[in-house]
Amino acid sequence: MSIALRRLMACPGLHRGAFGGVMGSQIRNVVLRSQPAAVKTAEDFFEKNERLKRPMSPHLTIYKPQITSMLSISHRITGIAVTGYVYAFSIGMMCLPASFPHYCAALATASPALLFSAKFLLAFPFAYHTCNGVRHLMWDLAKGLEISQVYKTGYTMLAATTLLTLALLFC
Amino acid sequence: MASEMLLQRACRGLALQARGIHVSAAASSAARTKKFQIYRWNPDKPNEKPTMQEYAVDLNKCGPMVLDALIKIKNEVDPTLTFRRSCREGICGSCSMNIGGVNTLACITKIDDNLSKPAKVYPLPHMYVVKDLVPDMNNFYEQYRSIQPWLQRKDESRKGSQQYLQSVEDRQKLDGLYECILCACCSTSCPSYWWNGNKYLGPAVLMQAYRWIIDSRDEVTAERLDRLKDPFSVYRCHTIMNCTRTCPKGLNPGKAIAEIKKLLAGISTKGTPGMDTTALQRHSCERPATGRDSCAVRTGKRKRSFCCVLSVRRHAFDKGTGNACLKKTKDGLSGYSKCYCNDLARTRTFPKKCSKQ
Repeated sequence: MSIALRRLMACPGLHRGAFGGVMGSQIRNVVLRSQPAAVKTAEDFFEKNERLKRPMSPHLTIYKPQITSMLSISHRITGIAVTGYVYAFSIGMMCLPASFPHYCAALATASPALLFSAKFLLAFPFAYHTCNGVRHLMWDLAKGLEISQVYKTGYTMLAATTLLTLALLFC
Repeated sequence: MASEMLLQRACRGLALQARGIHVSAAASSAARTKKFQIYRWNPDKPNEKPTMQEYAVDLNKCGPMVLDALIKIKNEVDPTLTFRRSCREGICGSCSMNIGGVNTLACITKIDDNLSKPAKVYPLPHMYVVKDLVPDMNNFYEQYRSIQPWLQRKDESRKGSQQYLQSVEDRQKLDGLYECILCACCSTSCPSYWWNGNKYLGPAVLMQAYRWIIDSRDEVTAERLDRLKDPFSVYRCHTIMNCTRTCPKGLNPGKAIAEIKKLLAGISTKGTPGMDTTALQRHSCERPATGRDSCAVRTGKRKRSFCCVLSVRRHAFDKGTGNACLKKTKDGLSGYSKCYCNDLARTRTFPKKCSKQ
């Protein structure tokens, strides 16, 4: 192919006519090769920071515990606990051989301290999640979201939780 | 020679005097040394772990704010200490950092007087550290860009010709939103933003999103809300309220997010603007059929009067009606069909040319 091209170029008439003066009198072999275009990969924010080995600034360990965040994480933990109880009771009742009243009767013989703490562990998450849930419902209507109100309702909720827990424990 | 001696003596005397004043000022009260523990990380040594470096600062020789102490340390003790600062009055948002466990602006945070407890200064939490107290804010700024924080209209052909009108009540809705200085204190105090900072927009950006959603002059509310309809952008907010607790400007991003959620859920709607937003535009773009320079209309008092952009604007505001369209006249002498003003042109301060559409 290149030889053919060179011969073609060597022909004086064609040279001036078809290729004009651009090529001049010099004849070169030109081999065209297709190459994939270099893909410009835009490094994203996270890749760049990882490449530069930038550390993540401390967060959970240094941030001051505040009513806002503490009540929130407690809400989540009690929610998980309550959900866990529901699953544990229902699955347990399906799998265990005897019926529910049977185990209730068996519990009556347990030590009062153990019974009390077991009752507390059942009652407190339920009471807390219920009372704080009311706050969340209120917030979903964008009410009570001034920071003073958040604190006021927070303390009120804690008082209500205590009362409800005691009621569940002793009634 | 003698004069030289005299001069020297005089100089020495002055210098001693000056030193005396300086010493007496410092000695007047005992040094109140406060320790500052500051987060350090050097990008030139990327394999070394970040450390806490302690500096002692005499509060008697230092300004009242944490930023004063940082600048003093940088000037007098350790010039390698790196932090952002600019306005030193809580309006630029550069010096946001975590001081004493809470995100705030160093320039408007007083140094804790309790000398027994060291002041701990960290960069904004859960951010990549560029150096010392300087975090990489690019992700935050990119998220801000994504909410398109500017006024958008369906028809912008007359953009810039006249101001958009907004009622006092509509303008009040922006109070508490527009003051945000984007210091990112709230976003980086939010545990949800710590864990989902790549997809959750965070309180600061969401409050700005709400600022444009609720603006009565903005017409792309539906599109703005549509962009937020996914499990992460808004709904990673669990109403923890660390954001509002920490905002150094006293704003309430948590409430703004709650309002966005209400709009997204259809519990509330934006409502119609209290004023005809483009009344001034529409006035100034209509041209009388006669081709005259000003728009002639018939009014009650005079046979011919001239209404113009300037007078309409003045009239609208003078009257306090907030509405430029006071009276629609029927086809006037000039065949001008709609006029948004009546008897306005007493002073004849109208422009020579009516702007053309």
